[in-house]
Amino acid sequence: MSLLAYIVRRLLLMVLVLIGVSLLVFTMMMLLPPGQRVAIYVTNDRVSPAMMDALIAKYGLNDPAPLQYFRWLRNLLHGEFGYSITASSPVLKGFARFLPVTLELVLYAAPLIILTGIFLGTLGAVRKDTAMDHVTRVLAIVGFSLPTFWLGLLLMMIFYGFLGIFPPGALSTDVRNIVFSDPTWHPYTHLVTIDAILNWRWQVFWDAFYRMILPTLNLVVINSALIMRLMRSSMLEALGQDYMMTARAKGADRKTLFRRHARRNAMLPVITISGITFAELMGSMVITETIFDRKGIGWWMAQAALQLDVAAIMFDVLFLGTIYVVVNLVVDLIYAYVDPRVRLS
Amino acid sequence: MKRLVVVAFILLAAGGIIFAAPAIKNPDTFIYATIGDVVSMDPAVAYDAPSWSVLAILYDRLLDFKGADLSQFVPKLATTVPTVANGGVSKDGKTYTFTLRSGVKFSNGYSLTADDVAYSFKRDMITDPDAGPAWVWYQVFLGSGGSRGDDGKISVAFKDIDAAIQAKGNTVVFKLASPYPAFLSVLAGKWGSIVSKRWVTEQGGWDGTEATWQQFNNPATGKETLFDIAMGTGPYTLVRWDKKVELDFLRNDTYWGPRPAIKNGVCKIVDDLATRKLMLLQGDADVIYVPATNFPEMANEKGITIYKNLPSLDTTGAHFNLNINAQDNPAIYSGKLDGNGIPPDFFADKNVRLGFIYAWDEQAEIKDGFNGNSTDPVTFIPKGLPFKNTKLESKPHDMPKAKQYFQQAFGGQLWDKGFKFDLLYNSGNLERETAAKILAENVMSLNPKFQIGVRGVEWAEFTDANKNKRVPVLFMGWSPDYPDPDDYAVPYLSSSGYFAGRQSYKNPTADDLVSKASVELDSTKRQAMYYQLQQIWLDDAIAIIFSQPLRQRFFKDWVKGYYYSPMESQEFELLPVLSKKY
Amino acid sequence: MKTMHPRLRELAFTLRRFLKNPLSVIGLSLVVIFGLIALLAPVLEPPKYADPYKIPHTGFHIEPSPPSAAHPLGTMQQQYDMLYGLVWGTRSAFRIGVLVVAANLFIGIILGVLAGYFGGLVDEVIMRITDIFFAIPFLVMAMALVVAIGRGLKAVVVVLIILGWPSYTRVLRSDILVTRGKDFILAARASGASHLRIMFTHIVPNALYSVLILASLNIGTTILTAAALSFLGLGSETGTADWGQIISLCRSWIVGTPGNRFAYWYTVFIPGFVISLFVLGWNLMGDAVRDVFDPRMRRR
Repeated sequence: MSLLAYIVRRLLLMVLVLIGVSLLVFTMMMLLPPGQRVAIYVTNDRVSPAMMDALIAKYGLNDPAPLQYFRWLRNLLHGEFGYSITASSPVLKGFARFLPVTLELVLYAAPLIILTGIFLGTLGAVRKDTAMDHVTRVLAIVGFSLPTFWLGLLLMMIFYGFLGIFPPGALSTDVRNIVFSDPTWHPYTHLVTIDAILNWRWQVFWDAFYRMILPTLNLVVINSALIMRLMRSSMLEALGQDYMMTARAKGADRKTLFRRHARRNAMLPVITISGITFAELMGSMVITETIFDRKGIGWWMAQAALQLDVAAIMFDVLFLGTIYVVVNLVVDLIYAYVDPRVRLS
Repeated sequence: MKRLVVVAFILLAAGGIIFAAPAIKNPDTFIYATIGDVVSMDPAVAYDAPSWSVLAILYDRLLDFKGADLSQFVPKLATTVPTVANGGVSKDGKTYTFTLRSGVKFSNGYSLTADDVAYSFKRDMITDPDAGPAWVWYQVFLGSGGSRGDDGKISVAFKDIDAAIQAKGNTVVFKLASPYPAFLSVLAGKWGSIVSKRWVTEQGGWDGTEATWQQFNNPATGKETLFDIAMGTGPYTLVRWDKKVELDFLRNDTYWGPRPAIKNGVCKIVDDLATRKLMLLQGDADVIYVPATNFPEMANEKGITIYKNLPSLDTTGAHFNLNINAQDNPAIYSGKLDGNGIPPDFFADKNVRLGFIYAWDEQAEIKDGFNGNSTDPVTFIPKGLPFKNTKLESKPHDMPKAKQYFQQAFGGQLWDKGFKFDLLYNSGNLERETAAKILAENVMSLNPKFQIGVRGVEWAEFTDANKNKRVPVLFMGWSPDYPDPDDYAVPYLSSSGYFAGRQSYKNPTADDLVSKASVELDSTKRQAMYYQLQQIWLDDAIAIIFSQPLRQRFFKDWVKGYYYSPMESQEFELLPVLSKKY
Repeated sequence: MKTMHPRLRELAFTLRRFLKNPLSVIGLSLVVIFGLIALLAPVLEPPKYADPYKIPHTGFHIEPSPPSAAHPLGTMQQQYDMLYGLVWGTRSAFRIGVLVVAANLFIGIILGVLAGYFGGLVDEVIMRITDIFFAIPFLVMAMALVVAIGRGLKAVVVVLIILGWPSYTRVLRSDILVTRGKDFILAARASGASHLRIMFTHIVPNALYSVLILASLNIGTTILTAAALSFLGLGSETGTADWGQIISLCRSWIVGTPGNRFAYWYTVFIPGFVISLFVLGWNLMGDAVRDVFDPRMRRR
């Protein structure tokens, strides 16, 4: 199969999967009685049953489920994603505001997670059955076993509560004023740390960076464990391959051996898992952002799910679903490029 | 109109020791960390505490309460408070005339006119979103419920709205449907905020004409003209509403009144209490919201000023549903009197209600649910409002008596068969959770066949169950729209009111008294009616109103000038009178 | 002892290998200890109510009390006894973990077998459905579903079952695809054995190892997810012996009193530590099981 045909097929499949995702999620939401789905519009205690019926009628929550789905789909095709109460704005506007906060954290955390995982995993494999190996393995398994929120709370308790450093929130009020109101500030990317460098405003950079340390640490401890384990086992496997034996027999020195041959082959599964890590990081933001009071996509999703903000849930789920399938596609393409033995099928 | 006799019993107790004064963080900026974001900044739509506290500093009303004293008013955009004596109120109590302060400018430079004032009220009425605040104006001006009938179609004629509120020269004349002693209290509410007709029209809002009003009626959430923009005559202007994150305000330097001391106001939305607490301790916040259950852990913190025992006008109760909707209702299990559920008319038997009421331990709730920061309001009218009969007493916590009533219930069958149902509360509300558990455990201790589950449900499920009258005992509170017994009598006792309606409670005498008392100008007669209503409420035993909370406020010690008023929506609205200094 | 059945010999070898690894022994001991606690819960902490999962309490005062003679591990918010909650919570944890993973296995295996053995359209449909489930952000969907079903432990279990099966299906299917082409299957088919017979006597047992390893690794993860849902406010009722619920109560107490910023350490630290140990036990065991069973790592 040619590369182009392959990509086209995968893209078509992707659309199919995303439609499936939206249908599934929508069906799940439709299982709720209209009285529950309308609750998000009820902002004060004193709404009478008649008023609630009026609200239900106003937002068409009593219509047959297929009609509601097609209305949603039609609006989607017109670029209308509805209004999200949990974002206090139309879905797209809310998304545009929350995404940079999350993306910035992912941009710092993801490379750190992947590098930590690869480094410690290699170390373990190369020094198999030494103390170093045991320590890294135990670390990985422990990191993997900690509840994300518990670690986050402990970090907050120690650093902000006891030592008074690393405050929560994405930005301090002063810096927020610069970023949102200063006419001389140019939001090139909307990622505050990068914009700060481009604007040459180090005060802003430090403020944003400073507040990212704890959440990043939290994400790294928990998420690098998986990559580390994978790297170790695939590295061990690679070291056991025939050609490695051959190379060793030919007298290649250990260092070259590991770097040239084993590592390269061991990287393949790691590429996959790194891609998935990126996609899943967006998901694990739900807890991290909630704890460290960073109002990003993860926080938004948690609120939307808790309050049954259907418009936001549908959009977020589709967004994360899209990221997931796209990342998978990209990973597969890289895979094929790095390892010609893998055929596209 | 008779003066309202309002007792504002405020005990300000400053706690916290001032330590060697450290440098003030952000001296020009006042930061409030709270949980709820503004829902809408449109005065015609806003109907919740965060939104109202923001309207308070962005806009002015015709008049305000005089500080914490809810029986007195001070003129704001009006020059005087109208009375019968000064000719501002007609003898029949149905016409009110306000003369406007001259020279007041909106923050963008537009001059305030009488037309703006009339427009603001009319705009509130024509907007009338579902579940919005406009009902109050319809009730006062037209004696009706709103702009739309039950079928959702427009049912009001514009000329009626137009005739009720008229601008004449520099005066505004209000014509009421019937005399309404609470009218000035209503006007002092944040829903009476005055907007600029010219500016709103420029923003694409209603132009004030009959031709266009219907297209601005009942806007979808977030589609109202002033949803996230604001421009008023108030002491502060809106800089930015960074939704769900923070709101920023800047002092209005052209403000007609006294100039506020603090230049910038910030409202931060921080969901987690521990985080808010840390922010306050580190000086990153100047005041924070703390739920009543967490007052004790704040008590010994240094560097903060705690205002204690601040009486609120909120009431929270457990309301018995006399006719539970049995359809799809897991909360009543079998739905029969068979020991494995309860029949829909379970609470229609007064013996059952009295059994629950005598089993209720008010002191335990005050101690554990509220850490002592609550009082027993006894009746539906909270302490601090006029016409409260303070001589009445709650039924005591008396387990033998409770047992006796349960033994009489359903002709003795209930005691033999037992029952099973769930008490629902909206999850996250610790006070209500504790109350439900105390009630359940006490009743269950009487008879092993009595089974009561206590179940926290999400707001969505709670709202739905509540709407469909599926909640056997409704744990719910009431906070005032305006400080007048009428705002309580209607929900608690009128058969169409919020609680009574959901409880299927109907007492014709009460219905009649509620509507008569609301329009009675003679305060002696009015008092007699409300006394009678309170007695009826106690005799009918339809609810346990267990709490009128005593609030606390937690400021950084460098914040000065705060005073508490039971009608404040949030601490933040006091911003214009606060300062930061040692 | 004469000659052992080859399968038994394999098992003995596996066990020996398993027990030689200190990490797996630690894991196993942790799981066994927790298992004993769960089994002996009625002896360790005799229940006070008809429903043993209701934690006893004295009053409802909000502030947690520190460890004392009456409450060896202190109390949580609202004076629920921590030790009681943790002991009976161990039972809940096993119930949740085992129930969810067993149900996931069941669904996953059936669909995986159908997809792997029949291939073609059946395979295509099942695999696209699993694709859909994979593309749904797990925690968000779980939260929304729990809210929709009505919060509580039961809802959490149902939701984890609904959302958790696809990974088993995927793994099993690919293993079956490998096994299906092997000589002995072809031989069996040539000898006229029925689909069902082939499937359950030959294919499934041979493909099952990796799924079981996945399952053992997933028990810990399941508990973590359930706890996360509780933390976000969607678990069981306060006062229920359920770890997730217990730990969700610690959130307001990470800041201590003025003199002692760690004054409430016990309410924050203990439940989280216990959950971590439990999950760690399963993960260590799962890890070891994987190493032991993995044919590529086996005889090395």
